[in-house]
Amino acid sequence: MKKKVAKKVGRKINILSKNKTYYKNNKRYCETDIETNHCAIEVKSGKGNDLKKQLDKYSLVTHKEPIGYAPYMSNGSKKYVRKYYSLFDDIKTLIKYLIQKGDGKKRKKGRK
Amino acid sequence: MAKKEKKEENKYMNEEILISRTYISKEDFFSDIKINGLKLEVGGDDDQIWFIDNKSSKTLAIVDIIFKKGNNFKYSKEQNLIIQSINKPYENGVFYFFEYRDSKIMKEIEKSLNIDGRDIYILLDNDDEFKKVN
Repeated sequence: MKKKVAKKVGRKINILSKNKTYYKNNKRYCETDIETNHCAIEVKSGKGNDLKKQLDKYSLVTHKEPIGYAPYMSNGSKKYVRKYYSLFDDIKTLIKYLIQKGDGKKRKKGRK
Repeated sequence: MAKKEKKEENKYMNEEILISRTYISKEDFFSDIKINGLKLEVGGDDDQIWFIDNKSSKTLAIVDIIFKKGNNFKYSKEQNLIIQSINKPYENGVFYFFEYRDSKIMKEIEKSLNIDGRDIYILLDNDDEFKKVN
């Protein structure tokens, strides 16, 4: 799952950083999985442990839109997180959303 | 090729839920886990323990500290939703939510934890069944 996320997102989206650690009061506060120009994405490989709490932290440390990608979360957890943040369980929809936000890679001249 | 794939896989955190029959406090984590090249730091809003590689300063794993007040454990709403949705090996256990970069580090942490009386089981990523830690 993780390989697919890294490869597929990176193919079409400009990724600025991966696994960036933020500090608060000299303590490690949170680590963003992927950052683009406009979004900070948390990738969840399992049940989505405390995704909302992590995205809350993202919004405190970056001025970017916090986004979740968690294909295996339970419906109850998804419903809860979606009250507050954009959450995707499908990679194509995530990429489409990031492109809409302006984070897509520019096509090279001469390519269709 | 395999090396490249492994590197790619380590870019994001995997998840593990650990259930223990008895409470493992923050102090227990600090006293139990003695792994060469690894240091523990309290992080987040003082509600997490971060397992850090001494040399590279990279985060290898993070666990949410479960606070205990009397007989009650303080889970977030989301953690409660997860607990309700999974098949537990027993009721009334204490749940710990881990994120880790490499399964090797979780094996080391599980080995270090005192399992006497704790009856520890783990649930990896999107597995359906918990596995016992021996």
